[in-house]
Amino acid sequence: MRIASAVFAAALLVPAIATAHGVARGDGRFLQSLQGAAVAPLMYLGAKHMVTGYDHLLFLVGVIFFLYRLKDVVQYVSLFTVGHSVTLLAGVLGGVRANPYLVDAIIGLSVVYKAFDNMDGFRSFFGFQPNTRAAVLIFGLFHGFGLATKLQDFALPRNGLVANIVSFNIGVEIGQMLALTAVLIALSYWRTRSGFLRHAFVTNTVLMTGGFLLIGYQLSGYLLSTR
Amino acid sequence: MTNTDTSIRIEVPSRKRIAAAAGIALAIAALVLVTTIFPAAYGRDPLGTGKALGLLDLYEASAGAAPPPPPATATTARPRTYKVDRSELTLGPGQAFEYKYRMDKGAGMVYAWTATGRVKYEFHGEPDDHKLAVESYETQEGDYASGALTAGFTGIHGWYWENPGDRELAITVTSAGFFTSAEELRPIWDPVKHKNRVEHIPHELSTPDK
Repeated sequence: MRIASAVFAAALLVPAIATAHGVARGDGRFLQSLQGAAVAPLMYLGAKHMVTGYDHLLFLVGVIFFLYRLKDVVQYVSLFTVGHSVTLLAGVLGGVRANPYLVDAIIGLSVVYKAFDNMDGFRSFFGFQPNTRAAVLIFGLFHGFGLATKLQDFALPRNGLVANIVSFNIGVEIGQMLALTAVLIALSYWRTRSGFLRHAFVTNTVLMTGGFLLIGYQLSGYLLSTR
Repeated sequence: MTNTDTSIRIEVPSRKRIAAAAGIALAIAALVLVTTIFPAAYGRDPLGTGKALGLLDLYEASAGAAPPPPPATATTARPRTYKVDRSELTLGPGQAFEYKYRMDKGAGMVYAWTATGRVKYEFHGEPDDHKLAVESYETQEGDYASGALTAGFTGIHGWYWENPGDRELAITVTSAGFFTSAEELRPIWDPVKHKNRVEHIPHELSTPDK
């Protein structure tokens, strides 16, 4: 059991070190050569970004970590979806351009926040429990800005812009569903074992480490990157 | 406000434990950041770990010098000088035609053209070996374009122009480069065969010293 939880923890941490995320270079070339609506390719890119975008996934793992009922999972994930869809659409359509490093640092903060929340840190230290649904919605808004900056890196043509963003967004939701299903299966299996609650605290510490790492990575990128 | 998601936990961790966990999380993150991410992603190596682990190479490879320029084409029969072309072409309402230069693989040219109104155009090339029918360089709408082209294959390279408007337009092309010939390809209605055929109209090219 110890081994299983260690593997799970390592799986959470490893992708965080592996690569910077964003739309890959070849995909970018494709986006810039677009002439109009390209529904399926944009959906694919959205899904790919979500499945390989470890920052969104870390946050979602934190959110559903202690959600046992499917109803709750659906509710919280819906709030997250509403949040990031609003800012993805508004960001790209309205031309609101956030600094990608700072937005990604806030996304890292959302992971730390959720891990701290899962450790019951707010009640222990501050004597109250902030509304968990509101937190998911608000951090969802920041995640959407992060998604928007990824698309804004490329000069998407005005022609067919709405269709392309909506396709990307739908792809994001599909990718999220796929990733969540995998995470839920792993978590459900783990919960049937006696070690889950014993290792829950450690796992959230690992989550928090991943969050801190994302913050440091993005903030130092903001300060140091010349590219 | 009830929080259904937090009610199932059996143990409530102590403050001390939470603080320790957060501290460890922060310390590990800081360590990984400084020892590996700094050198690998940003080329900073405060502790020398990037050099020791070879992570700095990652940064240098990605920052890397642009890919080496394509080797100079070893064409044996290198021309002594380039050709210059200035052509005035007319394009009636609703009509379309092409204008192409013959270039060897690796040959370069610079070009600029203007039209007296908006046209739809495609800058493209057609290789002689027909490995692909056509390679599109640019498909756009506008009344001018300019740039440089290095032919990726031996064949004809040039523009397709279409006049979507309802008045006649004049297109002026000015080019210089290592092309060997230029020709206009006009669709002409053949009243006997009842279909379009393409008429090839060669254009005179001059050399820069003229």
